Amino acid sequence: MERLVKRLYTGSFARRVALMIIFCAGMLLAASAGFAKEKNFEVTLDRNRVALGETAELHLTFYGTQNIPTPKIDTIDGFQARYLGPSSMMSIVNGKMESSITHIYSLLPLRVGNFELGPFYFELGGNTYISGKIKIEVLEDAPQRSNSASGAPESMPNLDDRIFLVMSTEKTKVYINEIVPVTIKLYISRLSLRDIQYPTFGQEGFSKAEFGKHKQYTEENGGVRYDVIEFNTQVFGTKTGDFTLGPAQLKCTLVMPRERQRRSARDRFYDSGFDDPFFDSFFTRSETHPLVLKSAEVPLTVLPLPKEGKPEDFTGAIGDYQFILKADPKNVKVGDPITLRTSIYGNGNFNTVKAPVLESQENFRVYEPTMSTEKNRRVFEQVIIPESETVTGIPKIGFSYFDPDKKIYRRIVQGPLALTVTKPEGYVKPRIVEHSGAGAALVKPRDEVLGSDIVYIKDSPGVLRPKRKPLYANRIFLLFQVVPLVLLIALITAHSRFERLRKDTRYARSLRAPKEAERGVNRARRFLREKKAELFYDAIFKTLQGYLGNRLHLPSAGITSQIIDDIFRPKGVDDDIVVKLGQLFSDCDMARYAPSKLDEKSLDLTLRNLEEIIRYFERHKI
Amino acid sequence: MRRPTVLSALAMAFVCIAARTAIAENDAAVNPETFFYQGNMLYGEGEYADAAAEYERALAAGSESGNLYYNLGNAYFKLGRLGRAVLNYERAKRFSRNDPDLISNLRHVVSLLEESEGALTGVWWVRLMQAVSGPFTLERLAIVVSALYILDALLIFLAVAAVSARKRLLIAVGIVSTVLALESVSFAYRRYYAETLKPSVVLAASAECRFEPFEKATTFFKLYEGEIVHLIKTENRWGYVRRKDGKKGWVERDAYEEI
Repeated sequence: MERLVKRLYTGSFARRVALMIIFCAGMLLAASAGFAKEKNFEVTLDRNRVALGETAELHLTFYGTQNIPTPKIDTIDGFQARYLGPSSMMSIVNGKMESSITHIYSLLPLRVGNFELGPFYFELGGNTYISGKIKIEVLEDAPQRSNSASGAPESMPNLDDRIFLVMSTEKTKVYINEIVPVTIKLYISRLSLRDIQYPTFGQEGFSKAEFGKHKQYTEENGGVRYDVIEFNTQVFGTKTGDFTLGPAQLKCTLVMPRERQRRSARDRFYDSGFDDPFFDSFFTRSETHPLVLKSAEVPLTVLPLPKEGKPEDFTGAIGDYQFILKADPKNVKVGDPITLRTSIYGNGNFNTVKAPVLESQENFRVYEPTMSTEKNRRVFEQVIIPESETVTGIPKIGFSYFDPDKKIYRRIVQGPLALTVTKPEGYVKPRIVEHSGAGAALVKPRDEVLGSDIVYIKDSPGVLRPKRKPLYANRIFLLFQVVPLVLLIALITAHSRFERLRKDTRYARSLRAPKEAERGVNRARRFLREKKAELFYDAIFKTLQGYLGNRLHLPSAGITSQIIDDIFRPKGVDDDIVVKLGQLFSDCDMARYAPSKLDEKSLDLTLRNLEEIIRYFERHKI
Repeated sequence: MRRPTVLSALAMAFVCIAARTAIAENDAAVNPETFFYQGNMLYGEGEYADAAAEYERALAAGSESGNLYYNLGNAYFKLGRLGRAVLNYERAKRFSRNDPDLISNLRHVVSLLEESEGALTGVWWVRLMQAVSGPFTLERLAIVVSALYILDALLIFLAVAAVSARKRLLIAVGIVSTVLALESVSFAYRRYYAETLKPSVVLAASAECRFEPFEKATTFFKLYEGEIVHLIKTENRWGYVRRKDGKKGWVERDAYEEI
C-alpha cells in the first residue's frame, strides 16, 4: 500500500491517473469487505442538556458500513425531530480500515423535563440493530456556566458538559508503597483545543511517577460521544493514613469562532475536515481562551502492611514478583570469583525491592551487589568467592514480598545451585601466624601510631668558634670587596691602553717622544760634561730630530730646519720657540762644519734650549 | 714592577684575614669543648639542668657552634622550658640551617606550643629568598656572594680581553651575574631579618603586651612561650615588639630574648 501511494505522487500523469483509479477501487473493495465483517449501531446526542428554543442533535451512527439508508425513527416524546442528513467517515489506522455513517436528526424540545430517548430499532437485510438508551434534560433557560473550567469567556455557553477533567484510581484503599495506577481523562465534545499540557495534581503523602505517553480515543459518556485524551501515571503512598489525591489540573487553550453563526449540522459535518483551528484562523475569525480544567479529588486510604505472617527476611518489597537465580561460572577454583545474577520481575513497586540474601555465607567471601533496573525488572549482580574446596554448592537465596492483591506475604526460594570448587595449583591454605620475635618485624602493623619526641643530643660540638662579629661585618672583608672592582677597572684600562698602543702608531710615537727625548738629553748632558762637543751636537741633533719626528708622526730623517716654517708657524708656536728651534738646527750644522767656533757656553745654551723646546711642546701638546 | 706589588699586597691581606680567624678559633677551642662533653655526659644521665649549665658555660667561655646550641635546646626542652629550647634551636639554625635533627626538634617543640605562630616564613618572597640562599648560613652566604662577585669580575675582564671567546664568556657572565644578583638579594634580606627585624623568642609562659611601656598601661594582647616576635626598639626595661599579625606592643625585656 505504501508503495502504491508513493507511486501516486512520483509517476507520470497517465500513470498517476491509472494508479488513482486502482487505489480508489481498492478502497471501495476494502470498505465493502469491512462492512461484511462488522456492523455496530450507536445513538448519541451532541449534548445532554438543552434549553427550550435550542436544538440538540441526535446521531445515529452505523459502524463498519456506509450503505445504510436513512433510518426512520418514531415520534419522540417531548421533542420534534427533523432529519438533517447523513455524514459518512472512513479512516485507516495502522492498516485497519474503519468506516461509518451517521444519520443526524435535529431535536427541538417541546417542554421542560428529563427525558429518556430510545432504545432505537433499525432493521436492514434481516438484521435488527438496537441502540441503548440516552438521557436528555430540557431546561427552561440556558444552563449557567460552572467553575470547573476557569478562564472561559462569560459570553460562552456552558462548557461543563463539553469539556471536563476526570481523575480516577483503581483502588481507594492501598497499602503503603503499593503502586496505584492513576488515570486522568480529558473529555472534549465539539470544541477545539490546543496547547494541552500534562496535568498536575496534589500528592501529599504519595510519591508520583512520570506520566506515560497519553492516549487519544472517543468514548461515550452519558449518551454523548466525547473525544478523550487519557493520561496515566502511578503513585504509591509513603506514609499511612487517609489522604486525597488531586484535584488534577490541566491547562489548555480553547479556540472558539468569534461571532460565528450557528451552522447547520449538515454544514458542520461537511466542513468537519476543516474544523481545525488552523483553518479557522484563515476562514473564520477565531479567538483563544486559556483554560484551567480541574477534576474532583480522589480519596485514598494508605494502610500499613500487616504484621501477621511477615517473613524474617522481608525487606519491604510490595507487589507480585518472581525471581530467577543464575551463577556463572559453576566450576571454579578456590579464590575464583562467581557472579550471582538475581533477576526479580513482575508488577509492583521496584523501589522497594532489595537484593535477596544468601541464607548461608559460610566458606564464601561475599561482596556488595550492584543493581540495575529495567521496566518491570530489577537485576542484582553479586560477586562471591569460595574460600574452601569443600564448598559443593551455592546456598539457597530467599526473597520475600507482600502481595497487596492477595493481602498476604509470599516467599520465593531459589537454589541451592550445584558448584564444583577445586584447589588451585600451589595453593597454601591461609593460616594465622602468631606475633612473636623477629618474625614480627617483618609485619608492618596496620594503622601504626608513630611516637613523637625530640632527637637526641649531638656527640661532638662541631666547629666551635669564638663569638665575634660575623665575617660580613668585618671591615677588612668589606674593604676586600672593593679590590676586585678596582682590579677590574685597572685591567680594563690597561688593556685598552695596550690595545691603542698596538693599533695607533701615531699615539704610540707621541707617548714615546718625551721618554726618548729625555734619554737623548741625558746623553747630550754626559757629552757636555765630557767636553765632547762633536758627540754632544750629534746627540742634540738626533734627539731633536727623533722628538719632533715622533711628535709630528713623521720620519725622523725628514726633520730639518726647513719644516719649521712649514709646520710650526701655522700651528701657532711661539716665535721665541721657533727662533730657538732654528737656532738649534743652525748650531748643529755649525758644529758639523766649524766646531771650533762653539765654546762651552754655547753648548750649555744649546742644551737648555733643547730642554725648553721639549717642555714647551709637552706643555702645549703640539 | 708596580702591578705585582699591588697583587701581592692584596694576597697578603686575604691571608691575614684567614690566619686571624684560624688563630682565634684555635684559642677558643680549648675549654668550651670540655664543657660541651661534660654537658653531654650529664644529659645522658638525665641531669638536664646541670647539662644545660655546662652548655651555658661553654657559651660563656666565648665559643659557639650549631651543635652546642642544639644540645642546649634539647636540655631546655627536657626541663620543660620550651621558650628557651626554641631560642637555642633558632640560634643553632644560624650555623646549620638544614640539619634534619634540628628541624625535627624545632618542629616538635613548636607543635607543643599553644599559641606559637613560628617564624615569619609565610610570604612567598620570603620563602623564595630562603630557597635561593639554600643551605648556607648567613656568613657562608656572604662568602659565596663574594666569590661569585670575584668570578664575575674575572669573567667580565676575560670577555673584554679575549675577543675570540667573547660570546661564550658573555653567556657565562650573564649566568654568574644572575646567580650573584639572587644570592645578593637573599643575603641582604636575611641580614635585614637578622639585624634589623631582630627576631626574638618569648621565654615567659605568658607575657602581656601593653600599649605603653608602663606596668599600669592597658594590655593590648598576650604573647606565649616560644612565640617569635620582632624587636623594633627598646626603652629602659621594655621592648617594643611586633607580632606576626602586625600587632605591636610593649613587653618587659626579661620576657623575651633576641635570637
